[in-house]
Formats: sequence, C-alpha cells, structure tokens
Amino acid sequence: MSDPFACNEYNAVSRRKFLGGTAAAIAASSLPAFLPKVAFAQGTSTKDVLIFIQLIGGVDALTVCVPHGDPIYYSSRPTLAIPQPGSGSQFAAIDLDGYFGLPQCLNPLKPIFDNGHLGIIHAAGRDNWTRSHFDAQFMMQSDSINLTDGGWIARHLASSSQTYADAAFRGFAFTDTTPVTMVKGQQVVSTSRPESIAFGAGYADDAEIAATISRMYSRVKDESRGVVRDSKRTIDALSPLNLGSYSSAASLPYPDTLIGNALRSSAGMIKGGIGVEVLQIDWPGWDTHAGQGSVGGLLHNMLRTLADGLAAFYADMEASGRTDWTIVLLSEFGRQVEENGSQGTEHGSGGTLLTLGPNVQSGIHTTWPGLEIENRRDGVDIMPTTDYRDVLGELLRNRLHNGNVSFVLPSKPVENTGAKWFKAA
Amino acid sequence: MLTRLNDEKRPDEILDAMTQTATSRRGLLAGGLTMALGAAAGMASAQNGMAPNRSGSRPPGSGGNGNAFESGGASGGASFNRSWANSKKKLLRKISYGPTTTDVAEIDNLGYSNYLEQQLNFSAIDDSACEALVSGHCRYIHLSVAELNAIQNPEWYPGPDAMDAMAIRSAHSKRQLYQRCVEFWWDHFWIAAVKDSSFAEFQRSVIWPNAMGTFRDLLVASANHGAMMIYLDNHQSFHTQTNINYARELLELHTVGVNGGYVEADIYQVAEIMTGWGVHENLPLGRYDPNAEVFKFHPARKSPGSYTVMGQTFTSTGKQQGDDLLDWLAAHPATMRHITDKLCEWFLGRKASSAILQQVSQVWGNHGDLKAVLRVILAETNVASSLPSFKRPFHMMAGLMRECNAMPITWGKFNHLLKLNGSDTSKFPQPDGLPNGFHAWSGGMIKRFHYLTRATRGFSDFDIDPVKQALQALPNDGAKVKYINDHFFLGELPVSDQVFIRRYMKQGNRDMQTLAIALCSPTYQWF
Repeated sequence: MSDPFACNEYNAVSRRKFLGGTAAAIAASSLPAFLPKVAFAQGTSTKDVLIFIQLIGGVDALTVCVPHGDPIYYSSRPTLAIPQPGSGSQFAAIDLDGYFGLPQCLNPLKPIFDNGHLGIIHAAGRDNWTRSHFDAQFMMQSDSINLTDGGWIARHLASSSQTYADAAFRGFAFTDTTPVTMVKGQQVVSTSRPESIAFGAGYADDAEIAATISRMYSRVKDESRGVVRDSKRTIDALSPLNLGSYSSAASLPYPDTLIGNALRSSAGMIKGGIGVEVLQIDWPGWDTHAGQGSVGGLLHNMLRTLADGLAAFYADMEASGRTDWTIVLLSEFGRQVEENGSQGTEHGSGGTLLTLGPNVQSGIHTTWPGLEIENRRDGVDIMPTTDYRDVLGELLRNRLHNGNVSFVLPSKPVENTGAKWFKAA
Repeated sequence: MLTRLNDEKRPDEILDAMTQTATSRRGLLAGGLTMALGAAAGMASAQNGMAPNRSGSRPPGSGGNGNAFESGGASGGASFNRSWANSKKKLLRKISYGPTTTDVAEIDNLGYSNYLEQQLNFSAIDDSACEALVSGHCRYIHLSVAELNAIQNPEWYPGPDAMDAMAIRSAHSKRQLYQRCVEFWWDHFWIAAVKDSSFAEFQRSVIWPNAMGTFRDLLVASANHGAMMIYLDNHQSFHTQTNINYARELLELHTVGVNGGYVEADIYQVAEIMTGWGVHENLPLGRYDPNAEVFKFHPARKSPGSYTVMGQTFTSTGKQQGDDLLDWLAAHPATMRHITDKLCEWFLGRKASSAILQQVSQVWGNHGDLKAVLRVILAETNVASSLPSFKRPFHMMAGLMRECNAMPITWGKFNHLLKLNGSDTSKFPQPDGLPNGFHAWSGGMIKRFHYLTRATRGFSDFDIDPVKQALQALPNDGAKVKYINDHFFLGELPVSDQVFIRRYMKQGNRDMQTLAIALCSPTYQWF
C-alpha cells in the first residue's frame, strides 16, 4: 500500500485481497461503520420544494453584498468597488443596514428583502477549504470523501420520505450531465430543457420502440437501468404539464434566459403537483479573473440576469399563493479581497450564500470578519465565519424535514443552529 | 426505492439501499453487490486524496477490477462478459471510433502487436482519401495563417471547421489511434471562450501536429499560443500585477496534477515566471480573423529575479525562465504519473496500475515520448483487463458515422447536433474539459436515444441510405440482425438484446426501427 506508484484501482484490489473472504464481507467493510444509528424524522407537515442554484466558478461576494461602510473595501478594489450609497453614481450601492448594501444590478431583489424573504449569509465558506475550482465544487456537491457515497442531494432523498408515493421523480437538474449532488440518487432526472424532452423520433410506432428500448434497460444491472426508467417516467409525467407554454401567474414575465427558463419550468413543475422535491439549476461562468465588471460590466449583467429571474419566480409564486418553497444559491467559493492586475479577482475561499423564499430568515446574517489583512485567510481571502454546511444542515432539518443531517452532510459535525437562517418546521 | 421509510434505519442501510440500481428488491443481490465493490474502490481512491470523478471514466458498478462483468456490473450481464473477452476487438473499441468489419479483418490478419504498431506509426499510414474529404468539406482548414490572409474574404468558419475536421477524421481516417489521441489532448489542453479563429489555430497548430509526439512539445506549444494565454488570463499577468489563473491550471491540470506535490505559494512563483507571456496587442478583434489572439512575449512585463517552484529554482531571465519551467515540468515524475493516469482512464477505462507506471517511467524520458507510453498502456495484457468506458457524445456520433461509412452533409450541423447531445463547449467553460463516465452524461440518455433514432431516419446529418439498402436486401430477420450485429457490435451484441430485437421484428418488417432499437441498446453506449 505504500508503493508510490500504487494507483487507486491497485489499492482497491489490494484492499480487497487483504480483506479476503466473501464479497458480502467486503461490501460491509466498505461502508462507514463509525456512523451511529439515526432515526428518520417523523414530521408530517408539508416540506418545501428546494431550488438549489449553483453559481459555478466562484462568485464575488463583495459585489453581491457590498460592505460600503468599510474603507478597506474601496482601497482594495480601485476599479471594482461598487460606489457608496448616495455617491451620485448610477451604480451606487443600495443601502440595506448602513454598512452593507446591494449593487444596482440586484435591485429586483430589494423588494423581496424588504418583504422579509431574502437572506444573505455573508462570509460563508468551509474550514477544510481549497482554492481549486474542481476540488471545491466536489466538496460542495458531494460533501463526502468519494463519489461512491453519492452527492448530498441524493443522500437527502434517500434518507427522507417522499412527498408523493407515486412521484415520477423526486430530484430534477437542469443539466445534460448528472450533477455530482445527485449522483447515486434514486428517482433523479437531469435534462437542460424539460419543456422539450421527448423519446421518439417520429416513427409511427415510436411508443413501441421506446417500450422495447426500456425493456432492454430493465434487464441490465448498472445505473443506466434506473436512468432510462426514470427518464421515461419523467417524459410521461411532464408532457401533460405542457411546460413550453407555461406562463407566470403574476404580471412580471419570466425573462428568456437560462435562469429565467429554468425557474419558469420549475414553477410549472411545482404547481403541476407531480411531487418533485429538489430542483437544481447550474450556472457556470462566474470565474471572473479578468474584466470582472462589477460596475456596469460582465458581473453586473450576470447578476442582473439572475435577479430578474429570481424576481419573476418570486412574483409567480406569490401570485399563485405558494409558500412551500425555498431557494438556496451557493457558489463553490468566493473571490479574494484585492482586485488583481486584470481588473478581476482571484479565487478566494470565503464567499456568500443567498436564501430566498417565504420560509427563510430574512436579513444579513454574518459575523463579519473585516477586510483587514490580518483578518483575512492567508492575508487574501474573506475569512469565512459561517460554514455553509451548517446552513445546509438547518435547511435539511427545518425546511426539508430530514433529521439525518450527519448522513447527508458527513464531512463535519453539523451544528444544530435552531432557526437561524430558516424558519422552524 | 426505499420500502421502509418511517422505520429506524441506519445510514449504512440507507447507503446500501442507494447502491441498488433496481426498483425491486430482486435487484439487490446483483446490482447492490457490484456497487458496493465500487464503493470499496472509491474509498481507496479517497485515501489517496484524489478528487474522484473529475476524470474518472470507470463505468458505474464495474468496481474497478476485471471481475466486474462476472458480477453483472458494467453493461449487459453475463452474456456481455463473454462477448467482450476478445482482446483484439477490445483494442479496436479502445483505439478507434466505431470499429468496422474491415478493422476486424485487418487485426485478425496482422495480429494484435503488428496492428498496434501500425497504428502507433501513424504517419506511415496513407490517409490521403480522408484528407481529401476534409479539404472538400472544410476548404481552408489546411491553410496557414499567411495563406488565409492572402485570400480575399475566405469562406472560413474556423471553429466549426476545426470540429468538423476532427469529426470527419474520427469517422474516416485510417489513423484511428491518432484521432483518439487528438480528442484526448483537445480535452487535456481545453480552451473555451476564445475567438473562433484562435480556437481553430490552437487545434491545428498545437494539438494536431503533436498529438502523438512528445508531451513536452504539446505543453510548450500550448503555452506559446495566444488562445491559451487569453483563455486563462495570462495575457493580463504583469510584473507587480500577476494573474494566477494560468499558473494554477498549468500545475493542476496540464502537468503535475492536483496531488503533484505543490503548495499555494508555488502557484504564485509559477505566475511570476510566466509574466509577460501573452498576446500581440492591437490585433484584429474579428471572430474569424486569422490574426486574432496571436501569441507574444512582452519582456517589459516579465517579473525580474529567480523563482522557486516545488523546490526547483529557476535563475534564467526573460522568456527563457518560462521555457525552463515548462521543460522541467514536462520531465517531472508527477507529470508522468498524472498524464499516464489520464491516458489509462482514456484507453483502458481505469487508472494506471503500478506496473504500468513503472514501465512508463522507463520510457517517459525528459519529454514524454507518447508513442512509447501508448505502447506500454495498450499492451495486450492491459487491454485484456480494460474496462468499458461510456461513449461521450462526440465518440458516439463520430463512431456511428464511421460504422455507416457516411459523410456529414451540411456545414456546422455536426456541431449543432453535438450541442443537442449535451456536448456544448459553451457549457463547459472550465479548463478541465469535458467530463468522462456514465455519471457525467446520464442526463443526456433521452437526447442520445432521440439522436440515434433520428439518425436511422436520415435526420442526423449523414446519409443512412446505404445501410437501409443493405438491410432491405437481406432475406430474413436472422440475416438482418446478423448484419446489425456485425456492423455495429463487432458480432458481440448480447443474445438477450437480440431476443428483444427479434421479438420487435416479428410485428412487421421495420428495418430502420430495428436498427434504432439496437443503437439505443445498452451495449452500444459503451466501448
């Protein structure tokens, strides 16, 4: 095992040889035996549908929630700082509490904040951290040491009772590849455009062809079996909803953007009552190393697009009288405090997390570490003072009615934080 | 699906339930067991500190050993195991797109080793027929930038042209192993969000000439190209104002790998060494302009002084310092391990064994002789114990064209269809390229079926009529199934799937629908 050339597969085989015995014994030994017994939550009240939005690439927390009361913010960001409220700039921050504010591009979220339905969890991150996108994303999505334990959403679904016994699917991702969060999930489906998903190609006997293909997959023992089965059930469940022609119940229409369309389809699925419990939207491209454009540029436009989509969804749900939903927006990390020489920012391990919906604890939640060099991680990152896994743990307990937090989020002992960020169940 | 939802249940039981792939409890024994073995492999992977599934192409349930089939894991149950025992056919699957009956005859004639040597010595293979197809379809892809500049308004769609050229060659080149290497390095030195012309120029001047040369040449060429400098922001990295994006990925993705032994401070040292590497300024901004994003080293932007990376101090100055760094990285044992691991995943569906790593370390040299490395990896004993990999959309589409011996019909359609299959470069803006493995692409299964089924109707941008006519000419169901089996499955379509197909055929003569069902079958999705 100490062979420096030994690869993973090799070690796995060695380990199996070492363990010997029957396959069943090996299977048992591969499970985390140290985990204690846990009981399922017995709650019966309606749980929220979760919309989990991943902003991939590392969102700049200091643009999303501007510490306009801190002069170091302005000295660290000569070109990227959002101007102070009252400065007269068209891009001046919208003050929230005298110290923090929203950039103008997030103005559509201000009424939601004022309604008490927007939470900003600032200086969020994790203690075992990295500045590698890929490792950080894996940590955020799997929250486990290896993928064979599946992703955290998959584990959540597996360890909680489903809303509808006969749901076609419980988890849905607006992606063409299965997100790591849902790997190993039962009844999870991913496709980028659910409004146009179809099995057939236009043969007169499309249905028979589809049935034959499905039967072939029902005979295999790998995961494609479940994927094909769930895909077919998904098509059968979605086609009556006619998502392509769904429109908002409010006067504010959904913008024709990636996020707008995904939220529009999410609303259609939620209101369609088909039993979906978790929806995930992935939006890559937040890795702003150069030409970040916090002030009227690239990042400004992206955040505006995000805010417009969220506002449309919020209005639709409000007009529809739906209160059983929660949105969480998370990025794998944030950016460093100082801007770099390219008017961009480097990867930084501290970021921000947004929660939105009628059941979140609204407001700015932070133990703000300050931006002084000595208060930063490594002198460069915003020092995280909230571990986002604690936030997800509270989400699980309070809004998703799943008490098996240590099973879903095994990488740290998640604190029982009561109802700090989400209203109690 | 769990059956005891409100009971007390231990996490290991829940995990156990999750590892089932079946809806019914009957699936527990076969499916659950295999997945649990997979879990054991993954635990070992975690002990090594890897970030799993970044580039892992191990099919789910294979468990990471050669016995996975025997427990019914990878794709088709027991009959699948028996049918994929032939190492010559396994080699054909691994080193080519959609191997054909001609390929089988050739490897049977030459023998395993001679066939592999022929593919390794790719430049000796006469490929003029394929190159004629490429230049007929992508008229300007062979021209240099100077030649392009000499033409008034060339009808030049560089991005789609480069992708089309890759697709045509994957489908029609006799240099199949070389094309598989082209796809590998396209992925390894991933670039996105650059001008179309510079994307194409990167492929044709960095990747294509070096895909089976040395790793050092690939690395050096990639670093000396404007597309890479722009994509990873190095063109904006100056003395006193470094941008570390390229430096990080140079270590993490291109060379020593995330576990290569560097720390955060090393990244900053690399960034200082690489300051000044950038692009010409005031160049045309046009998307199709051949002169867009041309590399240039700016001496005035280079940080002065010596820098130390992973214990090695670089004392030279100017651009030479970066050249020295790249040479040093190319020869580094961690780079050898990282690249060999990735190549093994690409060609064998598994990470490198310690035996392979030891043999590769003997032939890597200072530059990473890729032919010698491939000769080690593709030795018959390694291919015999290789595991099936899930076809990515590009592989599936190019392979189908090859099996049908068909040409793309319209400009850029291949790329459009590639996007519809989920392989949309704009959705993979990150420098680790396209993902591998069933997990990564399973969300696209329905789109894949849609594509394959439409292909049998002639709607997937290539001519399916020859296959249609061949099937029509055959006298009975048995002969038709044999044709499909021989031409699309190397004669190894599992019997259980043949039964479903024959049952469907009984209900009337529907040749192309039958082919559609076969192409959507589980076995076709793996190679």
